[in-house]
Amino acid sequence: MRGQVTIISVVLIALFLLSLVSVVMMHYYEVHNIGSIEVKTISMAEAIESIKTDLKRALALVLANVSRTYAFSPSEHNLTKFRAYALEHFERWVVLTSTEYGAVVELRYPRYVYRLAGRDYVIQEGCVFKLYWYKRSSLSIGYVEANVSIPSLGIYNVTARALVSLCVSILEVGHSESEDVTWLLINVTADGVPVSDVSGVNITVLYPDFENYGYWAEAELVSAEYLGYGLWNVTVRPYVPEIWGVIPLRLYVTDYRGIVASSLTYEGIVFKVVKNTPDRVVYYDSGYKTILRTSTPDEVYTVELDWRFHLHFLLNEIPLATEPPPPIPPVPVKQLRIYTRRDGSEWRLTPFQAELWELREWHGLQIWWPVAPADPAYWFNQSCRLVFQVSYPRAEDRVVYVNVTWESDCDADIIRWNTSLWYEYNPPDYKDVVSETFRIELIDVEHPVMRDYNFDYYGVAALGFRDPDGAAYGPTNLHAYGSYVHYSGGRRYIYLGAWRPYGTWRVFHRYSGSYSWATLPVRIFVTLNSTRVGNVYTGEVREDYYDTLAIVYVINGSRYAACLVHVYWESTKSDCYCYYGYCYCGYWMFMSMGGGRPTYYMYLKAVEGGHYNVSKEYEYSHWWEYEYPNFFCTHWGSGIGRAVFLSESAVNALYDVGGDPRFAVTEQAPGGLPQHSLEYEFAPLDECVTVYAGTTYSYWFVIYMYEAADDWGEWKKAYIYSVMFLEQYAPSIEVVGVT
Amino acid sequence: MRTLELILIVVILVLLYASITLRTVTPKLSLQNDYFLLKEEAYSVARVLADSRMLTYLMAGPRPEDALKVVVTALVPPNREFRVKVVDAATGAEFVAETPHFRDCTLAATAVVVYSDSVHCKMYLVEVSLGRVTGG
Repeated sequence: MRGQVTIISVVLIALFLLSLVSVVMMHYYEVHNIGSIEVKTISMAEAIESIKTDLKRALALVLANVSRTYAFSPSEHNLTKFRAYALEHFERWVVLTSTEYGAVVELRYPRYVYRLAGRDYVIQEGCVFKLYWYKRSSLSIGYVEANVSIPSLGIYNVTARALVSLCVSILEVGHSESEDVTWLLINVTADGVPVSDVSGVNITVLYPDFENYGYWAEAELVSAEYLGYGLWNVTVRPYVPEIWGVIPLRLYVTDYRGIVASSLTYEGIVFKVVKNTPDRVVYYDSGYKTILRTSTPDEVYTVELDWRFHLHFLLNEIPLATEPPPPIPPVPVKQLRIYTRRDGSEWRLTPFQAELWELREWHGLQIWWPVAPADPAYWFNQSCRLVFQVSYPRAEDRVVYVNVTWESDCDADIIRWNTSLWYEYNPPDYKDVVSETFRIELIDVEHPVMRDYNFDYYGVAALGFRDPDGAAYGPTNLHAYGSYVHYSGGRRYIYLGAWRPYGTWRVFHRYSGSYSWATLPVRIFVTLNSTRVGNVYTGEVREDYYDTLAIVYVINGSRYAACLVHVYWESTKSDCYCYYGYCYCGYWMFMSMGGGRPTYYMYLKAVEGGHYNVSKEYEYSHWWEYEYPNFFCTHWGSGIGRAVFLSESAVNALYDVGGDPRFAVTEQAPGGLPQHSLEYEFAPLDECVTVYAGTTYSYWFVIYMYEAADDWGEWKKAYIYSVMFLEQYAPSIEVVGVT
Repeated sequence: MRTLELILIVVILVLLYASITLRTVTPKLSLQNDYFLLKEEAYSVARVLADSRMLTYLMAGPRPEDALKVVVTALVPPNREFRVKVVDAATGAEFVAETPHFRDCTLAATAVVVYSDSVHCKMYLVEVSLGRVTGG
């Protein structure tokens, strides 16, 4: 019995102990919050994950904002500015996250390399995002890292990485004329994952409107069929024909997050600029003589390419000799690049600048007028011209190939080329445009007296030529008409060429817009738009003579400066002063002083004794007028050579308007100042010329500097370049292909 | 034998103490667990709202509060009261939707998620509170 009681007690105690253990364990479990930690851990994970996912969304927001603006705004193409906005946005996000989660978030923007289709796309440290666009494959990508600590939850230094991307590749393009459709096979991936039709995708296709060349029209989206693995078959209307081997299309894809990527079906346009000057020039001097143009290092053309691929050189507009290629797409100018090469050489990156031009209605004439340098952040458009140089240093160099292409990196900026050009503006003493060949004082309202010349021009616009070291040649006048008579002390003084263009030169030496810090690398252009003339002797200003438009180019890497002039006569004028049977008028197209330095001069006489292009060579002495001037004259000596090339239009104007033009030289200016000028007169000084209202003429003259010895015949060094500036020998343009 | 009796008495006393303690502590602990569970649920709802991008569409609609109420009602577990507050971080505008008995809850947990809407270029603060009525 006792044994049984003992056994029962032991069993009971054992049961109680077991029960006790379970109760204590339960107690321990609850007291030490093991269960709470489990649920708390889930909460911690939720907090961290939500920070991570929102970091990605915040990055997507930044990238969407940037890419949308870059794609659809014509001018907002400064990614640095967007990066500043992005950092500001992330700052706000960090503050919000810190406040709401109690988290300490530290953002980092490290370098990241994204590899796609065998190519590395790099996000540089601090860049946050990059856009690689406008090629067949385009990529919008962003990457950030965040160090997250939530002390209240015991979380320290958890690194969250966010990568956001949208990649669009054009794999194939086709069309069907009978169905009036064009189709594209494209691949779209977001964050490396195929973008399917489950998520919203917006596809826009544009095509060049060849009836209205240069404009892009939006194609009608017929269908966008998802084929799987990120492949889309996009069909649009209309049928876009193939040009130069490509079907030109622009594609914008916007994904469900609003991120945009833009691709193009072509990546560059190659054309050639063909030299049309002859291999020899001829002149007459006791028989026709030929000069071979075997070496022409100064045969450098500064040409302008407009959006229709017309080539402009001075006032020449040379249309394409071939079928037009697809237009240069509306890519920000800063991303455009020009490469050139001659036969047998490699492609070389070439300096260029973009200028804005407008076709202006001017007294019934359609005149191209430079408005300003382009804003490099702005899209290339119908107003833009690309200005670059092509050179033909040898006779066998007949063609220069030019490739207009664009960088895919939307951070690509204009290249800061070394240039000799600069502008010194400190009126009234200095208003000078300087190159390695010239220092040109812009004489005008702001700077009326040329330094060291002491002759007040009273606001008349002229060009004061100097060597770069400052040695002066004196003024070069664009145009002059009429006589002015002055009585003093019972004597009569007659002054000629009194009425000259009056106004202020406008100088364009920097880019415009947000790039106003950047200097123009190819040429500085200077314009004069005046409806007034000024009397250079009295300062009187009139509006009833003629209007003048003038453009002066001061060019880097060349030995010439060009001046393009348009003149329109407002009213009929016959400023002629006659007495004792002598008449005086003075009607100049051009006169350029030589500072007394040249010893010899030569002019090309159009015709003499049935012979053409006769060389007439002289030494300076007194004042002379010569008949039948043609497109070339020069003077040289004392270490300098200076030539003046006229256009055919200038020569025609001399003969058409004046009737009996003259080439003239003056050894001394009034007062005995050494002058040694070169002058083109519409008529002899003692001949009255009536100019009728509505008379209009356009011309250009080019001043070329060369090295000449103090000897006869040195003019030939310049004469070989004279044909460069004649209309009939202007370079031409042909498309070679589209890449 | 006496030893056994003593042990038995000690065990009974310990059990008695443990039982009494558990009666007091367990509800508190259970309440804490309930809180974290609610918080986790709230986080889940908030993250579903954010990660599914439905907020992009809900907030762009004419009556975001009504749309929020419908969606969150579908997302929360049964027997839960909720209150959703979406704050536009730029303007401070608030959109609030809640169940009628949310204010009667004796236990509630709140989860906050930041939502960046890349389509409309906005940033929202999504605050989801889940609660339930405990006891009685």
